[in-house]
Amino acid sequence: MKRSVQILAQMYTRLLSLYPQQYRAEYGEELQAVFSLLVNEAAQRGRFSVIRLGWREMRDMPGAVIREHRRERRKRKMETRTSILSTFEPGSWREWLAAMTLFLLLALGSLLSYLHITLPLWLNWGLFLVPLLMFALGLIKGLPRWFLPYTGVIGVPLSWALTTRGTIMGINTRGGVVGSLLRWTDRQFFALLRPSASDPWIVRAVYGAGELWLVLLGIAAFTVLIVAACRPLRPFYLRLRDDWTLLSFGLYGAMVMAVLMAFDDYPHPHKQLYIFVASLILVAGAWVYLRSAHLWQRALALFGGITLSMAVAATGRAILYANPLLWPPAARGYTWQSEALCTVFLWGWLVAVVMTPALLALLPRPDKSLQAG
Amino acid sequence: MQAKPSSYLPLTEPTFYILLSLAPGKKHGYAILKDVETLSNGKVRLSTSTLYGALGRLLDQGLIERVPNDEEENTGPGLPRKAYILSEIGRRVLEAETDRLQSLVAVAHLRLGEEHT
Repeated sequence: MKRSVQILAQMYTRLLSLYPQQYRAEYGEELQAVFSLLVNEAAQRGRFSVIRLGWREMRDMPGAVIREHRRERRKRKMETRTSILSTFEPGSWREWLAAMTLFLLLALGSLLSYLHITLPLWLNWGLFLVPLLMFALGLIKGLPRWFLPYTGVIGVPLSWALTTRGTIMGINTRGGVVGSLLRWTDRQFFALLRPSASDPWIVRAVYGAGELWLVLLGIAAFTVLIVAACRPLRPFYLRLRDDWTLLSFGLYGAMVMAVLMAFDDYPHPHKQLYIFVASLILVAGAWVYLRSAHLWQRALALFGGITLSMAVAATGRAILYANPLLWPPAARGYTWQSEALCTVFLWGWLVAVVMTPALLALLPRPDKSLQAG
Repeated sequence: MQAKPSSYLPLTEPTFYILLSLAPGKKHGYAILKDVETLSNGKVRLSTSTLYGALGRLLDQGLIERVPNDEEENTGPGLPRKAYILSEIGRRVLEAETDRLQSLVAVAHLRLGEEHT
Protein backbone atom coordinates (compact mmCIF):
# COMPACT_ATOMS: atom_id res chain seq x y z
CA MET A 1 0.00 0.00 0.00
CA LYS A 2 2.80 2.35 0.95
CA ARG A 3 4.41 1.69 -2.43
CA SER A 4 1.19 2.50 -4.36
CA VAL A 5 0.80 5.72 -2.34
CA GLN A 6 4.34 6.71 -3.32
CA ILE A 7 3.66 5.93 -6.98
CA LEU A 8 0.45 7.97 -6.91
CA ALA A 9 2.26 10.92 -5.29
CA GLN A 10 5.02 10.72 -7.91
CA MET A 11 2.48 10.54 -10.72
CA TYR A 12 0.71 13.57 -9.30
CA THR A 13 3.99 15.52 -9.17
CA ARG A 14 4.71 14.61 -12.79
CA LEU A 15 1.22 15.64 -13.87
CA LEU A 16 1.65 19.03 -12.22
CA SER A 17 4.09 19.87 -15.01
CA LEU A 18 1.05 20.13 -17.31
CA TYR A 19 0.01 23.33 -15.54
CA PRO A 20 1.40 26.68 -16.72
CA GLN A 21 4.81 27.50 -15.30
CA GLN A 22 3.67 30.54 -13.34
CA TYR A 23 0.80 28.57 -11.81
CA ARG A 24 3.20 25.81 -10.80
CA ALA A 25 5.53 28.33 -9.19
CA GLU A 26 2.60 29.82 -7.31
CA TYR A 27 0.68 26.73 -6.20
CA GLY A 28 2.79 23.70 -7.09
CA GLU A 29 4.18 23.18 -3.62
CA GLU A 30 0.79 23.62 -1.98
CA LEU A 31 -0.90 21.24 -4.41
CA GLN A 32 1.68 18.59 -3.67
CA ALA A 33 1.43 19.07 0.09
CA VAL A 34 -2.38 18.86 0.07
CA PHE A 35 -2.38 15.85 -2.22
CA SER A 36 0.16 14.05 -0.01
CA LEU A 37 -2.02 14.62 3.04
CA LEU A 38 -5.10 13.43 1.15
CA VAL A 39 -3.43 10.30 -0.22
CA ASN A 40 -2.01 9.34 3.18
CA GLU A 41 -5.39 9.79 4.78
CA ALA A 42 -7.07 7.74 2.03
CA ALA A 43 -4.45 4.99 2.45
CA GLN A 44 -5.38 4.65 6.10
CA ARG A 45 -9.02 4.12 5.08
CA GLY A 46 -8.16 1.47 2.53
CA ARG A 47 -7.42 0.71 -1.10
CA PHE A 48 -10.88 1.75 -2.29
CA SER A 49 -10.46 5.24 -0.83
CA VAL A 50 -7.13 5.65 -2.61
CA ILE A 51 -8.68 4.60 -5.93
CA ARG A 52 -11.57 7.02 -5.40
CA LEU A 53 -9.16 9.86 -4.62
CA GLY A 54 -7.03 9.02 -7.67
CA TRP A 55 -10.10 8.92 -9.88
CA ARG A 56 -11.37 12.29 -8.57
CA GLU A 57 -8.03 13.93 -9.23
CA MET A 58 -7.60 12.41 -12.70
CA ARG A 59 -11.16 13.36 -13.64
CA ASP A 60 -10.80 17.03 -12.67
CA MET A 61 -7.22 17.67 -13.68
CA PRO A 62 -7.53 17.92 -17.52
CA GLY A 63 -10.25 20.57 -17.28
CA ALA A 64 -8.29 22.45 -14.62
CA VAL A 65 -5.10 22.38 -16.70
CA ILE A 66 -6.93 23.82 -19.73
CA ARG A 67 -8.62 26.47 -17.58
CA GLU A 68 -5.34 27.54 -16.01
CA HIS A 69 -3.60 27.79 -19.37
CA ARG A 70 -6.46 29.92 -20.67
CA ARG A 71 -6.38 32.08 -17.55
CA GLU A 72 -2.63 32.50 -17.84
CA ARG A 73 -2.98 33.56 -21.48
CA ARG A 74 -5.75 36.00 -20.59
CA LYS A 75 -3.61 37.48 -17.84
CA ARG A 76 -0.67 37.92 -20.19
CA LYS A 77 -2.94 39.55 -22.74
CA MET A 78 -4.30 41.89 -20.10
CA GLU A 79 -0.80 42.82 -19.05
CA THR A 80 0.37 43.57 -22.56
CA ARG A 81 -2.80 44.99 -24.01
CA THR A 82 -5.24 46.38 -21.51
CA SER A 83 -3.19 47.25 -18.50
CA ILE A 84 -1.60 50.61 -18.57
CA LEU A 85 -0.40 50.25 -15.12
CA SER A 86 1.79 47.28 -15.85
CA THR A 87 3.35 48.75 -18.99
CA PHE A 88 3.98 52.12 -17.46
CA GLU A 89 3.92 52.22 -13.70
CA PRO A 90 1.67 54.99 -12.39
CA GLY A 91 3.80 58.08 -12.20
CA SER A 92 6.78 56.47 -13.96
CA TRP A 93 8.82 58.64 -16.30
CA ARG A 94 7.74 56.57 -19.31
CA GLU A 95 4.06 57.11 -18.59
CA TRP A 96 4.79 60.77 -17.91
CA LEU A 97 6.66 61.20 -21.19
CA ALA A 98 3.98 59.42 -23.20
CA ALA A 99 1.24 61.65 -21.76
CA MET A 100 3.30 64.83 -21.81
CA THR A 101 4.33 64.54 -25.46
CA LEU A 102 1.04 66.16 -26.44
CA PHE A 103 1.54 69.22 -24.23
CA LEU A 104 5.28 69.36 -24.85
CA LEU A 105 4.67 69.46 -28.60
CA LEU A 106 2.53 72.55 -28.10
CA ALA A 107 5.28 74.10 -25.97
CA LEU A 108 7.94 73.21 -28.53
CA GLY A 109 5.88 74.47 -31.47
CA SER A 110 5.10 77.80 -29.80
CA LEU A 111 8.69 78.29 -28.68
CA LEU A 112 10.07 77.62 -32.16
CA SER A 113 7.50 79.95 -33.65
CA TYR A 114 8.34 82.67 -31.11
CA LEU A 115 12.04 82.33 -31.91
CA HIS A 116 11.23 82.45 -35.66
CA ILE A 117 12.79 79.05 -36.21
CA THR A 118 11.25 77.43 -39.25
CA LEU A 119 11.39 73.68 -39.41
CA PRO A 120 11.60 71.78 -42.70
CA LEU A 121 8.17 70.88 -44.03
CA TRP A 122 8.65 67.15 -43.45
CA LEU A 123 9.54 67.75 -39.81
CA ASN A 124 6.55 70.02 -39.35
CA TRP A 125 4.30 67.28 -40.68
CA GLY A 126 6.14 64.76 -38.56
CA LEU A 127 5.41 66.74 -35.40
CA PHE A 128 1.81 67.18 -36.50
CA LEU A 129 1.48 63.43 -36.93
CA VAL A 130 2.95 62.59 -33.50
CA PRO A 131 -0.37 63.03 -31.60
CA LEU A 132 -2.12 60.90 -34.21
CA LEU A 133 0.53 58.21 -33.91
CA MET A 134 0.34 58.31 -30.11
CA PHE A 135 -3.44 58.02 -30.38
CA ALA A 136 -3.11 54.97 -32.62
CA LEU A 137 -0.46 53.48 -30.32
CA GLY A 138 -2.74 53.99 -27.33
CA LEU A 139 -5.55 52.14 -29.11
CA ILE A 140 -3.21 49.23 -29.85
CA LYS A 141 -1.87 49.23 -26.28
CA GLY A 142 -5.38 48.91 -24.86
CA LEU A 143 -6.35 52.46 -23.89
CA PRO A 144 -3.67 53.22 -21.31
CA ARG A 145 -3.82 56.21 -19.00
CA TRP A 146 -1.22 58.21 -20.90
CA PHE A 147 -3.29 57.86 -24.07
CA LEU A 148 -6.36 59.62 -22.66
CA PRO A 149 -5.35 63.26 -23.34
CA TYR A 150 -4.94 62.31 -27.01
CA THR A 151 -8.62 61.39 -27.13
CA GLY A 152 -9.47 64.90 -25.97
CA VAL A 153 -7.40 66.54 -28.63
CA ILE A 154 -8.86 64.25 -31.31
CA GLY A 155 -12.37 64.98 -30.01
CA VAL A 156 -12.11 68.71 -30.66
CA PRO A 157 -12.11 68.49 -34.50
CA LEU A 158 -15.11 66.16 -34.22
CA SER A 159 -16.92 68.67 -32.07
CA TRP A 160 -15.86 71.39 -34.45
CA ALA A 161 -17.29 69.50 -37.41
CA LEU A 162 -20.60 69.20 -35.57
CA THR A 163 -20.79 72.85 -34.63
CA THR A 164 -19.13 74.62 -37.55
CA ARG A 165 -21.45 75.66 -40.33
CA GLY A 166 -18.97 75.82 -43.17
CA THR A 167 -15.49 74.58 -43.85
CA ILE A 168 -12.63 73.34 -41.69
CA MET A 169 -9.20 73.66 -43.27
CA GLY A 170 -10.84 73.83 -46.68
CA ILE A 171 -12.99 70.74 -46.11
CA ASN A 172 -16.69 71.36 -46.53
CA THR A 173 -18.34 69.96 -43.41
CA ARG A 174 -21.78 70.44 -44.86
CA GLY A 175 -21.41 68.38 -48.03
CA GLY A 176 -22.46 64.81 -48.76
CA VAL A 177 -24.47 62.49 -46.50
CA VAL A 178 -22.57 63.49 -43.35
CA GLY A 179 -23.12 67.13 -44.27
CA SER A 180 -26.88 66.54 -44.60
CA LEU A 181 -26.89 64.91 -41.19
CA LEU A 182 -24.95 67.80 -39.73
CA ARG A 183 -27.32 70.33 -41.33
CA TRP A 184 -30.25 68.45 -39.86
CA THR A 185 -28.62 68.41 -36.38
CA ASP A 186 -27.91 72.09 -36.76
CA ARG A 187 -31.53 72.89 -37.58
CA GLN A 188 -32.98 70.61 -34.91
CA PHE A 189 -30.63 71.38 -32.08
CA PHE A 190 -28.05 74.14 -32.35
CA ALA A 191 -30.30 76.60 -34.18
CA LEU A 192 -32.65 76.50 -31.19
CA LEU A 193 -29.86 77.24 -28.73
CA ARG A 194 -27.78 79.71 -30.70
CA PRO A 195 -28.40 83.35 -29.76
CA SER A 196 -29.33 85.64 -32.63
CA ALA A 197 -27.41 88.74 -33.71
CA SER A 198 -29.93 90.90 -31.88
CA ASP A 199 -29.15 89.26 -28.52
CA PRO A 200 -26.87 91.16 -26.12
CA TRP A 201 -23.12 90.78 -26.72
CA ILE A 202 -22.57 89.02 -23.41
CA VAL A 203 -25.13 86.30 -24.24
CA ARG A 204 -23.48 85.72 -27.62
CA ALA A 205 -20.03 85.72 -26.05
CA VAL A 206 -20.96 83.22 -23.34
CA TYR A 207 -22.64 80.89 -25.81
CA GLY A 208 -19.90 81.32 -28.41
CA ALA A 209 -17.24 80.34 -25.89
CA GLY A 210 -19.06 77.19 -24.83
CA GLU A 211 -20.74 75.52 -27.81
CA LEU A 212 -17.68 73.62 -28.98
CA TRP A 213 -16.84 72.32 -25.49
CA LEU A 214 -20.38 71.34 -24.61
CA VAL A 215 -20.55 69.26 -27.77
CA LEU A 216 -17.19 67.76 -26.84
CA LEU A 217 -18.67 66.69 -23.49
CA GLY A 218 -21.58 65.19 -25.41
CA ILE A 219 -19.15 63.26 -27.62
CA ALA A 220 -17.31 62.04 -24.50
CA ALA A 221 -20.58 60.89 -22.89
CA PHE A 222 -21.60 59.13 -26.11
CA THR A 223 -18.20 57.42 -26.30
CA VAL A 224 -18.53 56.23 -22.70
CA LEU A 225 -21.94 54.73 -23.54
CA ILE A 226 -20.44 52.88 -26.50
CA VAL A 227 -17.52 51.67 -24.36
CA ALA A 228 -19.96 50.46 -21.69
CA ALA A 229 -22.07 48.61 -24.25
CA CYS A 230 -19.13 47.08 -26.13
CA ARG A 231 -18.04 43.90 -24.37
CA PRO A 232 -14.32 43.92 -25.35
CA LEU A 233 -14.08 47.49 -24.03
CA ARG A 234 -15.81 46.65 -20.77
CA PRO A 235 -12.59 46.53 -18.68
CA PHE A 236 -11.87 50.09 -19.77
CA TYR A 237 -15.39 51.15 -18.80
CA LEU A 238 -14.97 49.54 -15.37
CA ARG A 239 -11.74 51.48 -14.93
CA LEU A 240 -13.54 54.68 -15.84
CA ARG A 241 -16.29 53.88 -13.37
CA ASP A 242 -13.68 53.37 -10.70
CA ASP A 243 -12.05 56.68 -11.43
CA TRP A 244 -14.05 59.20 -13.43
CA THR A 245 -11.10 61.62 -13.29
CA LEU A 246 -9.67 59.49 -16.12
CA LEU A 247 -12.39 60.89 -18.37
CA SER A 248 -11.54 64.38 -17.14
CA PHE A 249 -7.90 63.67 -17.95
CA GLY A 250 -8.99 62.71 -21.47
CA LEU A 251 -10.91 65.95 -21.84
CA TYR A 252 -7.92 67.82 -20.39
CA GLY A 253 -6.09 66.96 -23.62
CA ALA A 254 -8.51 69.29 -25.41
CA MET A 255 -6.85 72.13 -23.49
CA VAL A 256 -4.14 72.11 -26.14
CA MET A 257 -6.74 73.18 -28.68
CA ALA A 258 -8.37 75.59 -26.22
CA VAL A 259 -5.08 77.45 -25.70
CA LEU A 260 -4.46 77.61 -29.45
CA MET A 261 -8.01 78.77 -30.11
CA ALA A 262 -7.82 81.45 -27.43
CA PHE A 263 -5.24 83.18 -29.63
CA ASP A 264 -6.78 82.12 -32.93
CA ASP A 265 -7.42 85.64 -34.27
CA TYR A 266 -4.21 87.08 -32.89
CA PRO A 267 -1.73 87.58 -35.70
CA HIS A 268 1.24 88.80 -33.67
CA PRO A 269 4.04 86.29 -32.92
CA HIS A 270 4.17 87.52 -29.31
CA LYS A 271 1.15 85.32 -28.66
CA GLN A 272 3.48 82.32 -28.92
CA LEU A 273 5.12 83.30 -25.65
CA TYR A 274 1.80 83.10 -23.82
CA ILE A 275 0.95 79.82 -25.55
CA PHE A 276 4.35 78.49 -24.46
CA VAL A 277 3.79 79.45 -20.81
CA ALA A 278 0.21 78.11 -20.88
CA SER A 279 1.40 74.80 -22.34
CA LEU A 280 4.04 74.45 -19.61
CA ILE A 281 1.28 74.96 -17.03
CA LEU A 282 -0.73 72.24 -18.76
CA VAL A 283 2.32 69.97 -18.54
CA ALA A 284 2.56 70.68 -14.81
CA GLY A 285 -1.17 69.97 -14.32
CA ALA A 286 -0.92 66.65 -16.13
CA TRP A 287 2.26 65.75 -14.24
CA VAL A 288 0.61 66.38 -10.87
CA TYR A 289 -2.41 64.40 -12.06
CA LEU A 290 -0.29 61.37 -12.93
CA ARG A 291 1.63 61.56 -9.66
CA SER A 292 -1.39 62.02 -7.37
CA ALA A 293 -2.76 59.14 -5.37
CA HIS A 294 -6.07 60.64 -4.24
CA LEU A 295 -9.05 61.47 -6.41
CA TRP A 296 -9.37 65.00 -5.02
CA GLN A 297 -5.69 65.65 -5.73
CA ARG A 298 -6.12 64.49 -9.31
CA ALA A 299 -9.23 66.65 -9.77
CA LEU A 300 -7.42 69.63 -8.24
CA ALA A 301 -4.41 69.10 -10.55
CA LEU A 302 -6.64 69.31 -13.62
CA PHE A 303 -8.55 72.29 -12.26
CA GLY A 304 -5.26 74.06 -11.51
CA GLY A 305 -3.91 73.33 -14.99
CA ILE A 306 -7.03 74.70 -16.70
CA THR A 307 -7.32 77.75 -14.48
CA LEU A 308 -3.70 78.85 -14.60
CA SER A 309 -3.28 78.23 -18.33
CA MET A 310 -6.46 80.19 -19.06
CA ALA A 311 -5.31 82.96 -16.71
CA VAL A 312 -2.16 83.24 -18.82
CA ALA A 313 -4.28 83.25 -21.99
CA ALA A 314 -6.62 85.95 -20.64
CA THR A 315 -3.67 88.11 -19.54
CA GLY A 316 -1.93 87.58 -22.87
CA ARG A 317 -5.01 88.49 -24.87
CA ALA A 318 -5.62 91.61 -22.82
CA ILE A 319 -1.99 92.78 -23.08
CA LEU A 320 -1.68 92.07 -26.79
CA TYR A 321 -5.00 93.66 -27.61
CA ALA A 322 -4.34 96.77 -25.53
CA ASN A 323 -0.90 97.39 -27.04
CA PRO A 324 -1.29 100.09 -29.72
CA LEU A 325 1.94 98.96 -31.38
CA LEU A 326 0.67 95.44 -31.83
CA TRP A 327 -2.96 96.23 -32.51
CA PRO A 328 -3.80 99.65 -33.91
CA PRO A 329 -6.85 101.13 -32.11
CA ALA A 330 -8.55 101.73 -35.46
CA ALA A 331 -8.50 98.01 -36.22
CA ARG A 332 -10.08 97.01 -32.92
CA GLY A 333 -13.67 95.90 -32.83
CA TYR A 334 -13.68 95.15 -29.10
CA THR A 335 -11.82 96.25 -25.97
CA TRP A 336 -9.03 94.50 -24.08
CA GLN A 337 -11.48 93.97 -21.25
CA SER A 338 -13.93 92.15 -23.53
CA GLU A 339 -11.07 90.02 -24.89
CA ALA A 340 -10.04 89.01 -21.38
CA LEU A 341 -13.68 88.42 -20.43
CA CYS A 342 -14.19 86.10 -23.42
CA THR A 343 -11.25 84.02 -22.15
CA VAL A 344 -12.83 83.96 -18.70
CA PHE A 345 -16.03 82.62 -20.28
CA LEU A 346 -13.95 80.03 -22.11
CA TRP A 347 -12.32 79.07 -18.79
CA GLY A 348 -15.76 78.70 -17.19
CA TRP A 349 -16.92 76.34 -19.92
CA LEU A 350 -13.70 74.35 -19.88
CA VAL A 351 -13.87 73.91 -16.13
CA ALA A 352 -17.52 72.84 -16.40
CA VAL A 353 -16.81 70.37 -19.20
CA VAL A 354 -13.50 68.89 -18.02
CA MET A 355 -14.39 68.79 -14.34
CA THR A 356 -17.89 67.26 -14.70
CA PRO A 357 -16.58 63.65 -14.76
CA ALA A 358 -14.11 64.46 -11.97
CA LEU A 359 -16.99 65.67 -9.82
CA LEU A 360 -18.68 62.32 -10.42
CA ALA A 361 -15.53 60.71 -9.02
CA LEU A 362 -15.69 62.85 -5.91
CA LEU A 363 -19.32 62.00 -5.19
CA PRO A 364 -19.80 59.54 -2.32
CA ARG A 365 -19.89 55.94 -3.56
CA PRO A 366 -22.83 53.69 -2.73
CA ASP A 367 -20.30 50.93 -2.04
CA LYS A 368 -18.64 53.00 0.64
CA SER A 369 -21.92 53.53 2.45
CA LEU A 370 -22.49 49.77 2.23
CA GLN A 371 -19.09 49.21 3.81
CA ALA A 372 -19.94 51.61 6.57
CA GLY A 373 -23.18 49.71 7.11
CA MET B 1 -13.13 50.65 -5.77
CA GLN B 2 -14.46 47.13 -5.44
CA ALA B 3 -17.48 46.00 -7.42
CA LYS B 4 -20.77 45.53 -5.60
CA PRO B 5 -21.19 42.17 -3.84
CA SER B 6 -24.28 41.43 -5.93
CA SER B 7 -22.17 41.52 -9.11
CA TYR B 8 -20.41 38.30 -7.97
CA LEU B 9 -23.65 36.38 -7.52
CA PRO B 10 -24.79 33.68 -7.88
CA LEU B 11 -21.86 31.65 -6.53
CA THR B 12 -21.24 28.09 -7.58
CA GLU B 13 -21.71 25.47 -4.89
CA PRO B 14 -17.95 24.81 -4.37
CA THR B 15 -17.21 28.55 -4.26
CA PHE B 16 -19.94 29.10 -1.70
CA TYR B 17 -18.60 26.30 0.49
CA ILE B 18 -15.01 27.55 0.18
CA LEU B 19 -16.00 31.06 1.27
CA LEU B 20 -18.14 29.62 4.03
CA SER B 21 -15.25 27.49 5.19
CA LEU B 22 -13.07 30.59 5.47
CA ALA B 23 -15.72 32.58 7.36
CA PRO B 24 -14.46 31.65 10.86
CA GLY B 25 -10.85 32.43 10.00
CA LYS B 26 -7.62 31.53 8.23
CA LYS B 27 -7.30 28.03 6.71
CA HIS B 28 -4.84 26.21 4.48
CA GLY B 29 -5.88 24.23 1.40
CA TYR B 30 -6.16 20.85 3.12
CA ALA B 31 -8.26 22.26 5.97
CA ILE B 32 -10.57 23.91 3.43
CA LEU B 33 -11.05 20.61 1.58
CA LYS B 34 -11.95 18.80 4.77
CA ASP B 35 -14.21 21.58 5.99
CA VAL B 36 -16.10 21.75 2.67
CA GLU B 37 -16.68 18.01 2.92
CA THR B 38 -18.00 18.40 6.46
CA LEU B 39 -20.17 21.43 5.67
CA SER B 40 -21.79 19.65 2.73
CA ASN B 41 -22.28 16.39 4.64
CA GLY B 42 -19.85 14.69 2.29
CA LYS B 43 -21.77 15.72 -0.81
CA VAL B 44 -19.09 18.08 -2.12
CA ARG B 45 -15.64 16.49 -2.30
CA LEU B 46 -13.28 18.81 -4.07
CA SER B 47 -10.23 17.62 -5.92
CA THR B 48 -7.01 19.58 -5.41
CA SER B 49 -7.24 20.99 -8.94
CA THR B 50 -10.81 22.21 -8.43
CA LEU B 51 -9.92 23.69 -5.05
CA TYR B 52 -6.86 25.58 -6.26
CA GLY B 53 -8.61 26.66 -9.46
CA ALA B 54 -11.36 28.19 -7.32
CA LEU B 55 -8.86 29.71 -4.87
CA GLY B 56 -6.96 31.30 -7.77
CA ARG B 57 -10.15 32.83 -9.16
CA LEU B 58 -11.22 34.08 -5.74
CA LEU B 59 -7.79 35.64 -5.23
CA ASP B 60 -8.02 37.37 -8.62
CA GLN B 61 -11.45 38.70 -7.69
CA GLY B 62 -10.15 39.89 -4.34
CA LEU B 63 -12.68 37.84 -2.37
CA ILE B 64 -9.94 36.06 -0.43
CA GLU B 65 -6.35 36.81 0.50
CA ARG B 66 -3.30 34.58 0.68
CA VAL B 67 -1.29 34.81 3.86
CA PRO B 68 1.56 32.84 5.47
CA ASN B 69 0.34 29.81 7.36
CA ASP B 70 1.99 30.62 10.65
CA GLU B 71 -0.55 29.68 13.31
CA GLU B 72 0.60 26.91 15.62
CA GLU B 73 -2.33 24.57 15.11
CA ASN B 74 -2.01 24.89 11.34
CA THR B 75 1.69 24.34 11.04
CA GLY B 76 3.39 21.02 10.95
CA PRO B 77 5.41 18.76 8.70
CA GLY B 78 3.78 18.31 5.31
CA LEU B 79 1.19 21.04 5.82
CA PRO B 80 0.93 23.80 3.21
CA ARG B 81 2.88 26.94 4.06
CA LYS B 82 0.22 29.28 2.76
CA ALA B 83 -3.25 29.90 4.11
CA TYR B 84 -6.29 31.81 2.94
CA ILE B 85 -8.53 34.33 4.61
CA LEU B 86 -11.77 35.96 3.62
CA SER B 87 -11.41 39.59 2.52
CA GLU B 88 -13.91 42.26 3.51
CA ILE B 89 -15.60 42.14 0.10
CA GLY B 90 -15.49 38.32 0.23
CA ARG B 91 -17.40 38.36 3.50
CA ARG B 92 -19.99 40.71 2.03
CA VAL B 93 -20.34 38.50 -1.06
CA LEU B 94 -20.87 35.49 1.19
CA GLU B 95 -23.50 37.36 3.18
CA ALA B 96 -25.19 38.55 -0.01
CA GLU B 97 -25.28 35.00 -1.40
CA THR B 98 -26.67 33.68 1.90
CA ASP B 99 -29.41 36.32 1.78
CA ARG B 100 -30.14 35.41 -1.84
CA LEU B 101 -30.40 31.71 -1.03
CA GLN B 102 -32.51 32.46 2.03
CA SER B 103 -35.01 34.48 0.01
CA LEU B 104 -35.12 31.70 -2.60
CA VAL B 105 -35.88 29.14 0.07
CA ALA B 106 -38.43 31.41 1.72
CA VAL B 107 -40.33 31.99 -1.51
CA ALA B 108 -40.20 28.29 -2.34
CA HIS B 109 -41.57 27.39 1.11
CA LEU B 110 -44.31 29.95 0.70
CA ARG B 111 -45.38 28.61 -2.68
CA LEU B 112 -45.12 24.97 -1.66
CA GLY B 113 -47.04 25.76 1.54
CA GLU B 114 -49.79 27.36 -0.56
CA GLU B 115 -50.03 24.23 -2.71
CA HIS B 116 -50.36 21.97 0.33
CA THR B 117 -53.16 24.00 1.93
